[in-house]
Amino acid sequence: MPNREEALRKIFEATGVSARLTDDQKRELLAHVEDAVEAKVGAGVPEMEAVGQAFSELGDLEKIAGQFPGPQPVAVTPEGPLSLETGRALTWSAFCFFALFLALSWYVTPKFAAVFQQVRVPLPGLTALFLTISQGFRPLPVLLGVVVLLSVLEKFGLRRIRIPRPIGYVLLVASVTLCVGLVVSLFLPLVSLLEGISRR
Amino acid sequence: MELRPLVLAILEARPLYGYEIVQRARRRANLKWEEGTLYPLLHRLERDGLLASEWRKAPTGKDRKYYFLTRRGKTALAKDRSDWKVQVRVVSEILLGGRHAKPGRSAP
Repeated sequence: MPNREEALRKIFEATGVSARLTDDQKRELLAHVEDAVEAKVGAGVPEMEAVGQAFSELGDLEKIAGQFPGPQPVAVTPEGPLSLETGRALTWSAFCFFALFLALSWYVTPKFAAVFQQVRVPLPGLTALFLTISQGFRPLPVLLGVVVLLSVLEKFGLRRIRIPRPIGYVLLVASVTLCVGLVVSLFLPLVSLLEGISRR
Repeated sequence: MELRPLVLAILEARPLYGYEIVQRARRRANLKWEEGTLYPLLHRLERDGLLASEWRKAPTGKDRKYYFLTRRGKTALAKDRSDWKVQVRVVSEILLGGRHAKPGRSAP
């Protein structure tokens, strides 16, 4: 019953403990309460009483939230434990930078490329390289492919796969390099242009 | 009471989700506890590699997180069982007296 689910979710949120739980933990505890309420209502207990009993049998939510284990460390270093969750966070940061790179490739790079063509400024090797990479991501099917791939990874892969921190770092460094490299490479010819103007 | 062996034993037959585990414990051993505390235990056992989990559709049509024993979990359960047998034997010997003490026999 969707109404019951929603009502239970609101009661759960009102306890103030839900902020301390992950989505997975909340979903699981709510499913438990929902099953308990359904069983009690099926046995003839009035709905409101069933909800009260289900939460009471679940126990002290504050205590339960405190008992959930933290993320498992992959290793303990003198600086502290290395968490696998860090790998996931790094990967998400990498995706954000990559999204920024895609946005730059779509909206900014073409405008710069047009200006460079009009003024016929010689392009440094770095600029030519990044313009080529950027153009590679411009066709709509490529962009859609990247979006679909990320969605599929998120839905079926990333939530279940624990990403080691080194892989997260590699992805982050690669995406930051793409972003920063593109921005720097776009401004290099402008520097040459400004130098030419100042000489005149 | 140590809940780990009970949870592992309940999950030995087939994958179950939290509410089902609680119901089985209640039916099989009339065991009652703060039901919510089962979930931190399940998450700890999963973190330790004794259980694995997966969200699946339950027969009710709702998504539920099913837990199942891993190979490591089965090994841990076998060890828990053997430890338990030793404990029962030792306690029986002390409480009931003699090597051949049987449950129900009064202490001398």
